[in-house]
Amino acid sequence: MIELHHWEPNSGSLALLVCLAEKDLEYAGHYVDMLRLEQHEPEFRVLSPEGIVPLLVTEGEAMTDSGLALQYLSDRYPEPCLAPTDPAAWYDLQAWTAILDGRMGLADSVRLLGWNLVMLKRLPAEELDALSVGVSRLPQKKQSGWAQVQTEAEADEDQLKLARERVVDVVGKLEVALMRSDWLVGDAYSIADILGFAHAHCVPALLPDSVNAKTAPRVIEWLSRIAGRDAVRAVLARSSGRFAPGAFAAPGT
Amino acid sequence: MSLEVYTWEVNSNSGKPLIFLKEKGVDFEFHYVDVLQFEQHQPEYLALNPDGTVPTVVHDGKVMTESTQALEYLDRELPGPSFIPEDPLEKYRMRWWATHGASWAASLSVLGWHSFMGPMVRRLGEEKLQALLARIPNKQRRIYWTTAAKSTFTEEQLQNARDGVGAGVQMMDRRLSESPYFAGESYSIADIVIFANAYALPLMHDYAASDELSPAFMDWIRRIYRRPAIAEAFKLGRTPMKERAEAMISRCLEEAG
Repeated sequence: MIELHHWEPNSGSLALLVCLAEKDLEYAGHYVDMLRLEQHEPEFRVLSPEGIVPLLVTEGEAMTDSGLALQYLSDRYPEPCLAPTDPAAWYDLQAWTAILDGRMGLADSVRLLGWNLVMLKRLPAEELDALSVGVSRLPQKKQSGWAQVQTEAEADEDQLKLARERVVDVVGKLEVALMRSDWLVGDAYSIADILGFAHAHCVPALLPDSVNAKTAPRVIEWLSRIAGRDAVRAVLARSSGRFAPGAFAAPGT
Repeated sequence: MSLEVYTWEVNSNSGKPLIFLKEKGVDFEFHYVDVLQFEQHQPEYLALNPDGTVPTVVHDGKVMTESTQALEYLDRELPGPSFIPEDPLEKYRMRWWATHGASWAASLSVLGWHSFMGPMVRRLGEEKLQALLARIPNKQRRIYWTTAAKSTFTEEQLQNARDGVGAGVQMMDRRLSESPYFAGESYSIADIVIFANAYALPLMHDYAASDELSPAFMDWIRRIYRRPAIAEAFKLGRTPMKERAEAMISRCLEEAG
């Protein structure tokens, strides 16, 4: 029995929805409306005290790390195969997962850009107000260690500019990797492509001047290739369109 | 077969491949990279690893710079016992703990720089230090290292860092009171990764880690210290970090009789 608590088909939620669809696995899906802060409701906090979405619940475990949950799904349900068996390609897959999902990785930077460049502009004012009141009531998470030192050292810098630099840096790495093959690791479509697509599919729409068919032709083609898959198409079609129509759609869809 | 490890002490990321390969019992070529002399930012090293991080592991031409992920590769490619559980759920837990179980080490690192690394690198002298810092390839890391080298941490940052370490030890203690090792019943890559970060906690940070505050964690760390591979790995060290770990190994072995 698999349960998936997810939000819109974007980021980690998109990755897990696509992986489950590609593997044709049965699961109970629960939509968590993050703009209503449902992830901080007591019922959800029982499953994830920190309110982490997406959350894959199976075998009694609430899996909070979506990149690692993809690896779990490919270990537990190896067919159809979406992961390389060769240890060197498996290392590449895990290294990509770290680059995409890690602290200050692609996912974090895209989230910051998506929120500021799209969501803040498109959300109705009353919804935004309700959201900021809700957020102000949540317990503040205290930063410590390098996260605090870094945040304070970067406080005077333009956060959106830093996020843009990080995204362009990762897109550059993707472009180089895709010179070798049509797919990120090994020679076949895998959960590395699924995770990369989930975090990068909206980047051309977010940063059209720096990520486009001229600056990153292989990345654009790769995104279209993945977006054209039946499973991916079906998952993307589930977008409510309520928040950011078009902004989270990949080219070619 | 060729296996080369470019790394520093048995400490944090640097220590992971050293402990792991001693556990495997596989010979390797050890290249000591002196982080206190910023050798990881020298052109020769950057040619191998453009990010200028340690460790770098090279096996038959495969260059690996992600220290935790490299261990899964080495486990499968090299002879010797395996440190990856078979069961997919335990594997998930191993990877979860290897990825997130030592996230408190970012706090420990601030304290380590404040008390040890900062004073050591400042011995290089201001001019040399500035030149070395300017060479760091990645902007984010340059900010880290510049702050760290000056150790200009505020008392609030230091106290938050101590609180961060305390919270991390409690998280590990809760897990280890449920199962003997992080992934489950058996010693795995997760234990190696976390030990490489946690080994000095009972020595340097007893406000966070002690028999009173974290009994399950203390029991776990003694069990790991008694493993023969740990003593073998620390023999490779060249700084006072080595002696303090060896004193702890002797104490743990004596206690166990």
